Amino acid sequence: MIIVKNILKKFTQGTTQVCAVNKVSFQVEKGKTLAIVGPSGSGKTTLLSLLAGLDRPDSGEITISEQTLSTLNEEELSHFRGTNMGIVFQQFHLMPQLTAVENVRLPLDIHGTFNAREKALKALDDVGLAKRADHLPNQLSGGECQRVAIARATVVEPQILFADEPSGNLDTETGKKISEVLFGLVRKKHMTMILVTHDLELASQCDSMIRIEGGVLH
Amino acid sequence: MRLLSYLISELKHSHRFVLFFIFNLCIGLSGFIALDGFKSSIDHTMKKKSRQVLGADLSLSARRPLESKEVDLVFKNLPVGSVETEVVELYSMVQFPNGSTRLVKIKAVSENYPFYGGVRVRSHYEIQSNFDSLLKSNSSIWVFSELMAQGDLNIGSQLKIGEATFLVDQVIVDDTTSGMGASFAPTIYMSVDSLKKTNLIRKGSVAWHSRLYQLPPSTHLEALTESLFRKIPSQDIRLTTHTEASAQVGRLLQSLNDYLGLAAVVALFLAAVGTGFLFRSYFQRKIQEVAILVSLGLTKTQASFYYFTQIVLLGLMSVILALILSFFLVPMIHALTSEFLPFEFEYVLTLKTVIVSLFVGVFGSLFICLPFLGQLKKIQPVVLLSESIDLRATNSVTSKNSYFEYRFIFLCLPGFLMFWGLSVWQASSLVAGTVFVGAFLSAGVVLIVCGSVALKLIEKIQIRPRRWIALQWALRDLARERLTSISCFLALGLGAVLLNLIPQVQESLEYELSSPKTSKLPSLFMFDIQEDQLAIVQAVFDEAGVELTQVSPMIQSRLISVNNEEFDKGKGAGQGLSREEEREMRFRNRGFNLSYRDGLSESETLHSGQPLVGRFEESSGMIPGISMEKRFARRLNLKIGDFLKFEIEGVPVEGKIVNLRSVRWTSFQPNFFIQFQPGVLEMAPKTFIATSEAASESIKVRLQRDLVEKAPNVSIIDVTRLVEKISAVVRQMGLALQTMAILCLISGFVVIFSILSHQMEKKRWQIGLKKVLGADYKVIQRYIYLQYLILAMFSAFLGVTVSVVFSYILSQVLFESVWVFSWKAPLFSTLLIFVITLGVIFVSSKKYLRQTTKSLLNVS
Ligand SMILES: Nc1ncnc2c1ncn2[C@@H]1O[C@H](COP(=O)(O)OP(=O)(O)OP(=O)(O)O)[C@@H](O)[C@H]1O
Ligand SMILES: [Mg+2]
Repeated sequence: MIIVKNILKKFTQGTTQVCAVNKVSFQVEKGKTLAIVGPSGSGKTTLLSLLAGLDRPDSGEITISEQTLSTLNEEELSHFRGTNMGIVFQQFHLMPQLTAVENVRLPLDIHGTFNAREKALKALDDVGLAKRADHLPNQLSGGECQRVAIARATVVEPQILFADEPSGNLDTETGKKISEVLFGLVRKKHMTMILVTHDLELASQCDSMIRIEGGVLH
Repeated sequence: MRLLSYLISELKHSHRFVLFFIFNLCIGLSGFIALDGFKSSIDHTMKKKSRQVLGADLSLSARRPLESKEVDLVFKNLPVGSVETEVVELYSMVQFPNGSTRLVKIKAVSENYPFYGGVRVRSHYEIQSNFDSLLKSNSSIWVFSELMAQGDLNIGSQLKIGEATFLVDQVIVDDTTSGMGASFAPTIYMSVDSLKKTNLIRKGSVAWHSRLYQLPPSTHLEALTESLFRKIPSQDIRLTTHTEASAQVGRLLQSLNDYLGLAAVVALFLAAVGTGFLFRSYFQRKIQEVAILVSLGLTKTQASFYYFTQIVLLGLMSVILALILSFFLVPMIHALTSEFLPFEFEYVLTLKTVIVSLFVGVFGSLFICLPFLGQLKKIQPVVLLSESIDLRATNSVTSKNSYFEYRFIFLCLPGFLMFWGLSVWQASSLVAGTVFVGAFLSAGVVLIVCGSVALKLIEKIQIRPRRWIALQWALRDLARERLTSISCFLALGLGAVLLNLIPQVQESLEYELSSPKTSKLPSLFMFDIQEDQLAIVQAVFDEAGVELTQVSPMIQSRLISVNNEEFDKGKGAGQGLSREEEREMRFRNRGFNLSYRDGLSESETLHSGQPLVGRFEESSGMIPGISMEKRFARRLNLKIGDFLKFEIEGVPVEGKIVNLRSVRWTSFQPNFFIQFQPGVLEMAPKTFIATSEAASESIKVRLQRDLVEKAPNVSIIDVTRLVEKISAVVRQMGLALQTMAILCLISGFVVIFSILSHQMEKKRWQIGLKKVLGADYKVIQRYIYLQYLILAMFSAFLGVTVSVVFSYILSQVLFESVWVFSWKAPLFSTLLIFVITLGVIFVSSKKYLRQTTKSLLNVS
């Protein structure tokens, strides 16, 4: 369960102030998927970063699984994020010097989980990449990199998955495949997912959809 | 923790960074470690051999015959079982049967000498302390082998010393008690009884009379010395323990080591700057990865820990490598400084050296990286969500975030304090170390200021792009990337300063010592001329048609009181004192030589106060004036107006300091710390010092021969020979310093290399873009080369200028000597920096210039 109450985020750009997210409130039930859509510069990414605790709102409150994010200090927030959330980025953000499986096991290692390699291989298998486990990112295609990134985001079995334009850097065909993998995993593992996208077709696959324009919910 | 294995794999992946980091730090550390190793090995050897240097546990000595009540007083207070022996040492001229003359040191010994160590004679392989055959006969002498060759002597040859004739009984090839002076005045051993026959010791002669003691092994030497010292009433008697004696022998080496130590700190500092740059570019590449890890749940504490561990690991590896390297470097330092060391030594890697190296290496690395690690806090994983971020740019130090700027400077402090601490430690002096760091910093400030001004000017330059596009790009980049330009400038400039400073100072010193034009060195210097001999000496010179110059009286005295307060003779126990304090302590412990002269000599200038005018008249009711050398006054804490009371052979003499003067000691003129107004000391018992500017070698030989015959106890120093000797020492010191300078230089290269390759890495986008936009290879190459060569030329020029100014200040303030500008060194250092920069740019840019545009624009 995610509860967003009245959050506000402003940026100063030179002398002017931009209200990237303006008094936004909504809720997402556990196990449901939500799409955030809107034109470029409307504040989607900013909203996502606030939800994932990567940035803090100027005002308002975000509660995730009964935990109010504003009460956590930075270290606690990092820890909370590591155990409860997974994030998929548009640019994949894989570690270039680590192999696929090493990238996937990173979060497990950070928490000191046992049998990390087995779990990581399982996660890679879930995204259909078991065979490329020992390849480095630069030996993989864009789609494959994104699948590794999805495996990495889900390997700790988080309750919530955040994805910012997961297929934005890929061609339509590959993008479709990626969203199939993503939705397949979310359903199988009963995860809550918040997805930012331009693609209305992709958004329509979600249980619900919100539209944001100029930082305001419509 | 599994993170550790990531750490290893990450380091493996960045092997270029790791290699450079370790290489760089290792070069910086090895000079430092080798020097520390060298010093502790010397300490170690000295501790083991110090008794052999003195030949005893303790000595009591004075520059006059010891009175029997003094000797009895000391002996009475020694522990039961102590043994004593008498030694007298003095300088004298000898004339060999083949007609040549030489200044020698005569060492008269008596029964029991020595308690430790001794000499190695030609017929025996071992060091022996058995002088029986010398002591039994009152006509035998033992002679250093060097004299045997010079005088065509053989065993059994006759040699006249003073008024007696001796037979050479043994040839000495090694002596544990002889220091550096031995090469200038080789030793002749005889018995104390024999010495009396020579009649060399007269009133006022310069001779050291001592008693050496062997104490029971259980004696607490320091406590005993302390209590004895308090019991001895006379102020001109010295107690010397064996450790002090050996420290004195190694003193010159020690001060050389201090300078070497500073050079080593500079090398380390440069290496630290280089390492900092290396780490900066490494860390900036890592920022994105840290952001990813943080988004995956890694806490900042964990991240800091992770990088700290990495750095400690790198530091450790550098230290271990440097320790291994030191085994090659120490013998080298030893070879370079062998002149200064009276004994053989073995290199032992002491635990202290290891601990010091570990401390410096590990904490040094941490302190170097700390300012950059401080930016960990600044990393926000939110940047991962922005699409076209240039993480390197957004997170660079240049960001206008004043909090982080202050924080950066604050985090530089530990490293700076360490630099300061190491300098003070290496120079063994708070003042010298601090002055050094201050000078270094001010050089840095000068470079930064000049660099900034130059960049401002460059920004104003307008160039028509069509013809000079490469130059335009180069200048624009220099002006826009201020921080980078200035750091390159600083590193190159400081390198130039150091590279040029040492040869510049050395040149001036050597010039002064070797050039008779500027300082009019005398060729002969005579001392111990008795009052009744003055006429004889004068006659010898008149006969040869050579002028006897600078005839100066010398009166031995003791300082009794200052401003009616007893002069504190203060005994330096030697513990925890800096070199300066130690020096002062030794100083206070001495009797003083007085002289009188009206006016100043050529080599003196009035520093402050009134000149001494006219003769002192008893009837005037005034106090006689004293002129004092200014540094001497400072060390004794005396000032103009102080009222001093001396005692000359029991007769009190009073005077008041009326002026301070500075003396150019390298002039080799007879100069004294304390000069009285004429009219006070004329009646006191005295000896004379005089010089002569005898022109040719043959006249010099003749003068020396005549003097030895007619006034055998007058000692003559051949200044020309002495100067040669000193020049050799200075050259060797320079050589040792230059070796360290080379270390600095290598560290400097690594700095330049790390900066430039970091620059190239940053530039690859620009290079790619310019290619895409149609610039051809040649233009881009020219643009890159121009940019850095302009930088290199300018910083080398400025650095060299700063070093020339520094060398001038050093010569004036520290050495008070003539300063000459040597054009060779600056030209060489400028060229060197130019060539090196060219090479480094070539190597580091080749990779990027040749890359295809596609791979240049490829992100990860
Ligand atoms: N760090 C920042 N500093 C200043 N302004 C920012 C910052 N991040 C975002 N903004 C501004 O906030 C607004 C919302 O940006 P955001 O990135 O959330 O849009 P978006 O909806 O994700 O756009 P797109 O679809 O192009 O990704 C924009 O006007 C942007 O310029
Ligand atoms: Mg966005």
